[in-house]
Amino acid sequence: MTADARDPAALLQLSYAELSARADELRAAREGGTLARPALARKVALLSGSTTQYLARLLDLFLFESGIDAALYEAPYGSLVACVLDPDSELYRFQPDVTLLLPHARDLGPLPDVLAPADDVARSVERAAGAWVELWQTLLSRSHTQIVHANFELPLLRGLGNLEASLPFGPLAFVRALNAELARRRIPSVHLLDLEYLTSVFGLERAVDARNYYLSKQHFSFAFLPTLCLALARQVALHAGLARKCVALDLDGTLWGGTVGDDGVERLALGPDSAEGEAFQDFQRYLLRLKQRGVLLAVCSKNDPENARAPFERHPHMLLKLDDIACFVANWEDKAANVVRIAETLNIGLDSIVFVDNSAEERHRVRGALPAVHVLDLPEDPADYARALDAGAYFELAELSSEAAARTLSFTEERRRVETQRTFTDYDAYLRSLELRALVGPIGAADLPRVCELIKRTNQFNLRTVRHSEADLIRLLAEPENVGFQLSLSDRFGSYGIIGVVLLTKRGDALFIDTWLMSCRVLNKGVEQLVLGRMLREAAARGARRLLAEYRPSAKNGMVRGLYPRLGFRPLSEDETGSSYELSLADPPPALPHFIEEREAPPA
Amino acid sequence: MTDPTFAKLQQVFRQVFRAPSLELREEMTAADVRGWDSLKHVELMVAVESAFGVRFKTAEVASLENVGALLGKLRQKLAR
Repeated sequence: MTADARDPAALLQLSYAELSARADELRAAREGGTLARPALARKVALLSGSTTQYLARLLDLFLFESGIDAALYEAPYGSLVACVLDPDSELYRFQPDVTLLLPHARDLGPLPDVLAPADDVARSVERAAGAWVELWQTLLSRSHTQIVHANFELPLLRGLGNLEASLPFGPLAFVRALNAELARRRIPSVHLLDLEYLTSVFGLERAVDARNYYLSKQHFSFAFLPTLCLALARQVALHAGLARKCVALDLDGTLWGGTVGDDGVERLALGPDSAEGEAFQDFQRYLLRLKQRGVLLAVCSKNDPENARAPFERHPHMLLKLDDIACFVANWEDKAANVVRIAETLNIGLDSIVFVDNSAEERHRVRGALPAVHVLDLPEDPADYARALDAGAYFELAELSSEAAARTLSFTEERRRVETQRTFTDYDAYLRSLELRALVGPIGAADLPRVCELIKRTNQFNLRTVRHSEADLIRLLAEPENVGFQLSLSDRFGSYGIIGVVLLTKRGDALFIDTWLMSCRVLNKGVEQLVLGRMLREAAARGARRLLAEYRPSAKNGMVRGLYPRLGFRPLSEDETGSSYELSLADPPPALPHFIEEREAPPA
Repeated sequence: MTDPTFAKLQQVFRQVFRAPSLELREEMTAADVRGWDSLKHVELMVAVESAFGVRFKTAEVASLENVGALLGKLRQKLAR
């Protein structure tokens, strides 16, 4: 078994052939006693109107990826009702924890006659539902099982055309009424699987396959089986206590468009002023609905805490408020460590968390470090965010009580612990796995537009926030006492483009760091260490004996307040305009480790 | 054997029956291949359909006697 998919939703990406191969591997591993991961043992009975062989093999795989090592009992074809009614049937000897009832349209029984009076139709709906209710009761009286009962998909064929929707005796109206009646008469320990919804979203025409039925008595198409298996596996997992409870959310690019630290609250894309802003707002609306039914919302953001909170407090179109967030974590640390912190604060398992982040790299990091957390493959377009989260059906619940809905409230009150420093011993391994490559070189004419944009717009990782104009920059770079360089970065996910700008100027025996700014996306990847190494070499090449540096606080650059001391600089002086530091070349700090392959950019 | 249809069909067989070294022969029948039962047969036909972009009629799926007959049907459909 491969270890990449630990949530069955990920299996939907695979073809039937691949799933089939994986299912075989799982069986072989189980027989050989070499299952890749521990899983809860559960007994699951499958009673279907179709042949179950295709479904059962796949279901086994979907269950295992849900954390369940299933013993499956498949009732013989055509014995769905008989094996429940017969007190001596195999079903009862098996003693299932969960029984899956999957009747299909051919088990509907006689449909009303054309032009049957409405009263007669209502009675036959009642009778049909009543037969299922009796079956549930019989099963429950003989077995301590949970029942998952799939309702009926809508009929594909419409002999009455559009009148099917209007006339009570048509098969369409009959199935709709029966599904509603089953929901109304549901009893405890019976849970309806909404096949009517599932087939309509998947496409009814693609979900059922008449030829398959004629050939092998399988009502559904092969293509639909994975979707059905995911829904069934979620139900079984739910009754094994394995449903997820919390969604951990990134902020910039996930809840709103833009970067709050750089763009400011006012310029975020959120709300009716832009198409993208509407999409972000709708995603928040969906999250709010999850929260109202008891899903915990947590924030996991790389940001200054004040910046991260600002939109919640004062953006006019922000639907989520701070009170909706059960645990709010915003800092510049490793996200995997922060997800662990969220789990601890909320006192839930890592396997209760779905991680939602628009950065492929953060997803890679969390997926690698915390396999129990489900990392959502977030689509690139915010218009698709809500559906991606919804389609995974991560937060199934058996019932909705007012207590469950109130759960988020108590978490909200308990939140906000003292922040503890927490490091991951395998962070280096993570950095190595990113395969970071840096190109460092002089600032050429072609680089000027991007470099000037960075100078103008970078607020957070900016040590002095000196906004040189393009003309100034060209003049400064032409003077022999100044040297500038720019740095671009790429990793296995792609290129970040130019992400750093440095301007150094000779002052007596020192080289002074006039400008050092970087995109905060690359923080904590070792780029600072790499840049420092480069500055030391530039200083040595110019006969300087030390580096001189200054941190000038601004409203937004709090994140680099402690940068120079952290890199080994010695404080010289401090006043209200800033702090000065130096680093002697005679006494350089040990080379700081980083995992970036550094290369010289070709001359522009 | 350089016939691309034959080679591609062999690939499908190898994948469906998880037999990476399976050598397809025209006279081969279900009895010659481990696991080729009536249920697997439908799975095989669906895999062949999706690999070649063709569709077999119900009766065709039910009546094919050996690999040669399947190849014949397949070539006939691909030629259209």
